[in-house]
Amino acid sequence: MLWICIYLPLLPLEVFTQKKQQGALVVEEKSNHRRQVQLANAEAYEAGINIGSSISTALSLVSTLTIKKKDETAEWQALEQLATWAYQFTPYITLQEHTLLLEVESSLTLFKGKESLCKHVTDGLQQWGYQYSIACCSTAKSAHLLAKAKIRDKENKNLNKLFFHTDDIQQCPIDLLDMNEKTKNSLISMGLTQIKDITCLPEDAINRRFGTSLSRQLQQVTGKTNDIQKNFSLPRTFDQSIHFTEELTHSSSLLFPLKRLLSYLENYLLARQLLCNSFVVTFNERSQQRHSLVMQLAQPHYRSDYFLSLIKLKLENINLQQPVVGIKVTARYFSPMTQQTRDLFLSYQETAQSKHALIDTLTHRLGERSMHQIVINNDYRPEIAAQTRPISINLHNIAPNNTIKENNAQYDAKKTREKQRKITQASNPQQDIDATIQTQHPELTRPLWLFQQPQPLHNKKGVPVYGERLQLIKGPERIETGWWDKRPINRDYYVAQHPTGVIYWVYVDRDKSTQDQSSYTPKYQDKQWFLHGVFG
Amino acid sequence: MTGLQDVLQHPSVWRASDALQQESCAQQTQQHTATGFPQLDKELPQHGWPKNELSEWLSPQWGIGELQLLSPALAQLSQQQRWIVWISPPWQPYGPALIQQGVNISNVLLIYAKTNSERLWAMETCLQSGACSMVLGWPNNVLPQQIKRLHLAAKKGNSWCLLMRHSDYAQHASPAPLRIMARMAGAHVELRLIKRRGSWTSHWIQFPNLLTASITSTKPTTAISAASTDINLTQQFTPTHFMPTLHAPILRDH
Repeated sequence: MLWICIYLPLLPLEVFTQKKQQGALVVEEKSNHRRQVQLANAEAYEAGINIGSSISTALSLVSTLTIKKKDETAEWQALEQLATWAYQFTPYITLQEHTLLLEVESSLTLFKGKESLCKHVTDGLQQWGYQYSIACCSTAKSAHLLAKAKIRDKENKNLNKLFFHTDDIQQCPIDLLDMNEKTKNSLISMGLTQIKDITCLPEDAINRRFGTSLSRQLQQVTGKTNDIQKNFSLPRTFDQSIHFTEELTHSSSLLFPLKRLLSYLENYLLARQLLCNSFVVTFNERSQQRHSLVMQLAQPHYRSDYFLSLIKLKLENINLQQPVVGIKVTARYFSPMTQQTRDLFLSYQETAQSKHALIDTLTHRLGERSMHQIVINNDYRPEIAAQTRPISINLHNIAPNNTIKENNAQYDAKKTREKQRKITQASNPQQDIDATIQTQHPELTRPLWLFQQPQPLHNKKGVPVYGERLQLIKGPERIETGWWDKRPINRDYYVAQHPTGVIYWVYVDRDKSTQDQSSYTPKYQDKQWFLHGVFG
Repeated sequence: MTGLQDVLQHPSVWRASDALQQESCAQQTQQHTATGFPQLDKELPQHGWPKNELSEWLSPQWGIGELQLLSPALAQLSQQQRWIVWISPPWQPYGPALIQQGVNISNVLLIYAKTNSERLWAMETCLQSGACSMVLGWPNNVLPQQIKRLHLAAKKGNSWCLLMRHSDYAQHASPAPLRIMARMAGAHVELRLIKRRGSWTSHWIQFPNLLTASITSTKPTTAISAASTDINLTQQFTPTHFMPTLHAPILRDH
């Protein structure tokens, strides 16, 4: 077993100072109904405030002193954030007050030895900006005590190292161990100042005088007794927030705390090996109102800079009415992280990834309703046969449908090629040209442009008029269907040419009352013509 | 003579014979998309539509046959796993017809942006992303510097940007390397490359309307048989037929 202990002595103070507050700051605690200073920052120290002095004394020294109540939830949140980050080193993590314990024996091979692993840990810790002391030892208790001793006794050269043996603890002062004030005083009055002084004493005698707690702690140090640690496990959903000490009024200044929250999200996702499908950013406004941004992603992702770039796009469009006092990021929907394979020979690399990323970028700026895809339905009614539908955010859900369409297209292309082969066997070069024109451009039976709303045309003696008289060159194609739902149609479609040469797709609405099914050539004298498409 | 050689070595000197070299280079690198029309391929500087550039399509109105002329390219490009983006098209591109032309419509993306600046933003974003093989845009108004920007974005994202504009803009200067003018002449669509690399403005290239052509092949009617004879006439009088008569007077002079 190899334990790394990360001890954060100034955590109660640092959960406040992380928000870049200047000036003297103390954290108060209550002991014996007396408000006293638990921790003070550098400015407060310089002003002469000491730990343990009363709040009134401190205030008399510095009138502008900021006093904060100890915020244990914030401390735990900070510890959990650190634990999420530390998950990259080991899954065995224990949280204690101001302390993070990592059991890293099984990760040593991965990180190529304990020196290299500790370097990774310390390098990462620098970025968090906490004051820390770190110690490695074979038991959790000794690592913890040594990390504490290191910070307390900075001049001690024996402690100025990273890797310790359990015997190193013998030189440490006795009050490192958990004990009450009375025990401490009596031990010191007995002349027992270092831990080695009591380890050589008979255990029974110590138990009788001071209870079993002291000897159990000593056994835990040496590893004689089990020291069962409660493992930290990552929560099922991500929910982190930041509260500001000052109100933020510019949306650009929101990006910095957001960046931090999103980097926590990235750590969380990496630790759980998940990708995020959607997340919610909530801005708490001054008047307790909340403004939520729902971020839907076309392609699940984990990178914080990618999330941030999308939020930036969205922030451009929203208007926050009031100053913001806090931000919260929640993520509940995840999908497993899978590796993407790429084509080696394609000139446009990484497109499978960026195809979805592009949808994300566009939807967050233009809105989901402005992006459409064409959907084919099995219906005779032209306007229902193909519809444009707002793009589905989870594109991978509609993949099977696409493959069918792809197959159709491939089938069509194959048919065309076959046709081409047959025709090119003909010897006449003139026919060849005609044939290539026809095969490369399959015959059109439907217009390439369709109007969303059919446009009514004038009727001049049974012939449609669109500015000028249209010449009907092909038709009719009768479509009479849809009686089962609310949109029945009964139409004769024609291909019609405008004198300018443009070819339109027009239809005449045949209503039931004046049907003349007996005659072969339909008469449209009193019918309404519509323009439905252009063969553009 | 060495002085002349030096001058010719200079990279900024362009020679007509370079066009031939370009041809062989283009064949090697395949930096183009076949148009599907031999008469158009012949005229285009890279013997096909460009792949990573901006081109302008100038037309007096929409629906005169631009999609028929583009559909072979669309069909080819849609086989890539990249988007073909249509930004604010005048009408809805009709799916069944596109499928008939061999277009894989699962790669077709339609974007309807409200404002002109949003359209241009969307065009640039799509082009830059590298996730689009082609972007067709119908912006209301584009400034030359915006065209330049779109062109650079197209280069970066390796996609073809086709800017659809009204033919009135043909008079305006534009940094687009390829400008195509379309017009309707009788039953035909005609294209003219009013600006292209390495050559002058082309003549009007005539395309039979595919629809009317197909109708005549299946069911000739009086109205269209006239049009089809027109097609035959133009194809018979290819320049090779004229060559002997052109040479004849010169021979007589000798």
